[in-house]
Amino acid sequence: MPLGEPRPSPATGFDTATSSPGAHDDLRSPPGAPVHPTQADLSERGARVTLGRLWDAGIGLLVVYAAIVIAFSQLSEFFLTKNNFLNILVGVSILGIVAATQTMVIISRGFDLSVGSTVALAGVVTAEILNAGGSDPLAVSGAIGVGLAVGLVNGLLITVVHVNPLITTLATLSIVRGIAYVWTDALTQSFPGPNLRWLGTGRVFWDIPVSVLIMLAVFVVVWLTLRFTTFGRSLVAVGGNPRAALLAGIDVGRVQLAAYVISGLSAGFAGAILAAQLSAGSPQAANGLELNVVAAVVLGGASLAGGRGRVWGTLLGALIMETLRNGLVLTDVSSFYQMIAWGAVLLLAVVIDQLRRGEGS
Amino acid sequence: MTPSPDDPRLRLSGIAKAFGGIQAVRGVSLDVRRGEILALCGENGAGKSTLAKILAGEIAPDAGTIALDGQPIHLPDPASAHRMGIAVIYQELNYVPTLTVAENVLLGRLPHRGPIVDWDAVNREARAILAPLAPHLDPRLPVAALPVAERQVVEIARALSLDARVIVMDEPTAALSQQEVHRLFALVRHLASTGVSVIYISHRLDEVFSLADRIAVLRDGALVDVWAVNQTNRAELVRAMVGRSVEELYPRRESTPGEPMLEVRDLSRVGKLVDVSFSVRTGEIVGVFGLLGSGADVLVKALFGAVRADRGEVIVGGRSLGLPTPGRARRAGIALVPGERKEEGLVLGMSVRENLSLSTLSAISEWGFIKQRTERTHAVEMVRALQVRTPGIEVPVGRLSGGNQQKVVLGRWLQARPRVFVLEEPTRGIDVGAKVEVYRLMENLAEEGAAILLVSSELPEILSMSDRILTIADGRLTAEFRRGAVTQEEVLDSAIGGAAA
Ligand SMILES: Nc1ncnc2c1ncn2[C@@H]1O[C@H](COP(=O)(O)OP(=O)(O)OP(=O)(O)O)[C@@H](O)[C@H]1O
Ligand SMILES: [Mg+2]
Repeated sequence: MPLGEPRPSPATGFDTATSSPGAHDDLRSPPGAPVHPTQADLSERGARVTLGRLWDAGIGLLVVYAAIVIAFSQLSEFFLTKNNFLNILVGVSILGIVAATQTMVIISRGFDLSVGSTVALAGVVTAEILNAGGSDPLAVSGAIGVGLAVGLVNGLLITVVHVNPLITTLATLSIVRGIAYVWTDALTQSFPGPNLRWLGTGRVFWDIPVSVLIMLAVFVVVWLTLRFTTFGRSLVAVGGNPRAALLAGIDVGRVQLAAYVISGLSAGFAGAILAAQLSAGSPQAANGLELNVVAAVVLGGASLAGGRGRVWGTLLGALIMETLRNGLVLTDVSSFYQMIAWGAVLLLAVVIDQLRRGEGS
Repeated sequence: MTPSPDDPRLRLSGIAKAFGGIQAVRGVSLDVRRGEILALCGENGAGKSTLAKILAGEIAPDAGTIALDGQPIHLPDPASAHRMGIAVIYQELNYVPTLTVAENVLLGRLPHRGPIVDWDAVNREARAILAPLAPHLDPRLPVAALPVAERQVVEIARALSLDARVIVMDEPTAALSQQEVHRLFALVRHLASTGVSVIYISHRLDEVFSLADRIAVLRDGALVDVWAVNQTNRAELVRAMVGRSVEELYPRRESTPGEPMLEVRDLSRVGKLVDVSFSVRTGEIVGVFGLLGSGADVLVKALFGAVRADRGEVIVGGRSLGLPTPGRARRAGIALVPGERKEEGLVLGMSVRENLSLSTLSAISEWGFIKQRTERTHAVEMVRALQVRTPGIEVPVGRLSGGNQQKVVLGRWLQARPRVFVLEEPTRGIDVGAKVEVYRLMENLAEEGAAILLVSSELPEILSMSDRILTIADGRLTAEFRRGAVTQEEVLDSAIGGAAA
């Protein structure tokens, strides 16, 4: 790899806004080919699907996932059942919703560690509103309002005051969680069952849980945003080279602020869903969720240096982590070993991804 | 085999290199003699930098051999090229921005006493190395704080101080102005007289003719011609490079400027700009010329709000922006083509298409959704209009050659059709053929009513393209000239005169 040249970004069908041809096949032109290709030539090239691109499109992750599924289906007869599969999906929905929007934050060269605490506080607010006689929509709005507030605080501190995102969101992680404890006296706030039942345990179509549909919808929206909108493109540009984005006239601060607000909103909404699933708002809820979220995003192929991320990769990353947890529980592995397995899979997936990338370039 | 004085200093035989399917260098065989200055010319993407990187040990050739003083050598990595005495100055600068000038110059060979770095010696040695090129440069400054041109000087100084047998310089003067170029040439000639061989890559043909002993031309990766410098001329060289003759480098035109479009009032920044006021009218091209550290680069950035001014006002089309921010400047219709493409101009991981549309996203979208087809069409049009040599618009922009990357930076703003263009070294690294296209585009834009501020270190470019010329020194505007009524010397004098005052 020449020093002066940038590392070619491994491109993928799953790649978000940067749809770059990863495989060198795309560069092939016969010797003596015209120096300036024709119009059709120019736009067609790089759009073709090649083996290299498929490989780049997260096949490595799929292989890891398949291996996990096969292993557990051998170890437990309960694993490969429709019900368990739905369990996994429900289990992944909170993580997934938050990870989808975290992908946007990380692409823009940011970081949001406050999401777990926001989920908890939003759940508490949901419960409090319902217990005070508020309606379902009001409760959900309250939860989203919490997310909006946290997102705004994060975003403004980071973009206006220029505090480092890691420090900022580490601080709000602590503050928001603290507020949830103070508000509830550290007690879980239950609310009457009928409230929010549709959101928590509702099923539609072929028994698909509502929360799973919501998660998929969030992923589709994030994907559309990154792939097709000016905002999505700006996120990638800001993450890829903030200085160039600024000089291209992109409002870098506003773009980053929007990413944090969206991340907050989605965490707030996820908090309402979690409260609905548990029929309670708990200040301990979603403890450590932020680490799983970041792990899912990175597993999915996003670069922590910004400028690159894959939404569907994030979904796969989240699925891998939840499936692993589910399988280990089913096979009665102690939670200590679960921790070790969790870390091992994270390392394994990242190593595979790195190897694949090495081959691609 | 023992080296004999008759052996060429450097002998390349059948060197070839392909990237994926692109044959960047095809079977190049070339001798460089002892103490010779050999210019290497060719269009953007001809393979010059690839050849330089092969000599730097950074890229392994697919085929061919290299011999140094008669001995076949193998260059698996940059360190071995170093040991062999081959020093390379890259087209894209390589420095550690957070380190000081002195640390960068002496990187990897800091003077020390035992394990302790001897900082006095570091600064002293760095100062000595820098003296012939930039006597005023403070070696204790971090490189990040320097303008492009000074960073380039730091790079050059480092390479020239390495005691090399062969020095390869890939467009070393792209951001330098005449004064620095003169100093550099004196130094290079001195080195050559001591037996050092120099391969000099440049798109500035005047420099090539004044410096080189021989000229070699690459086309599509193949060596097509080698002449002694007095056996050829500019026209022949250009024809060999681009395959056709380029008649008029600077298209002339009659200009009839209209109302003031860009007005700058008392723009100031502590230590950098002092009460800079001027205006550019619609249809007018105003050139700004300054030497190293004159503040021209700060002026450009301050106009666009990328550097915060302390005081002053920028007015576009009669409406004041106060002190602009980049977002406000863009919306008011100001376009900035920044001087350093890699750091300021491009998102390297993004494709050519995505880089081209970065400043026009709102114009090519509906309800926030980018119109895919429009975006593609625009990208293809721009690639053809500027003759960007790329396998396709979906290729990551970082894979293009330096000059082709520069065209992408330019193309981005051409699509935006702004009212005010601020161009900082717009033709930096662009070959002669494409330069004419860029100048024509500038003419057309002016004719259509754009106001253009051209900041360039290339005096002929400034003199021929500008309706009015402003010189800047020490952050102050020192003189104003009309086109045609001024010579290079006069402009240079007022750019230096201010500095001395
Ligand atoms: N890392 C790379 N991957 C793929 N293609 C590359 C890479 N580096 C260079 N190329 C291609 O090789 C060809 C030669 O590039 P090179 O940088 O040597 O041109 P050059 O003569 O230096 O041009 P310029 O005058 O614009 O600097 C170009 O077509 C370029 O796109
Ligand atoms: Mg080059």
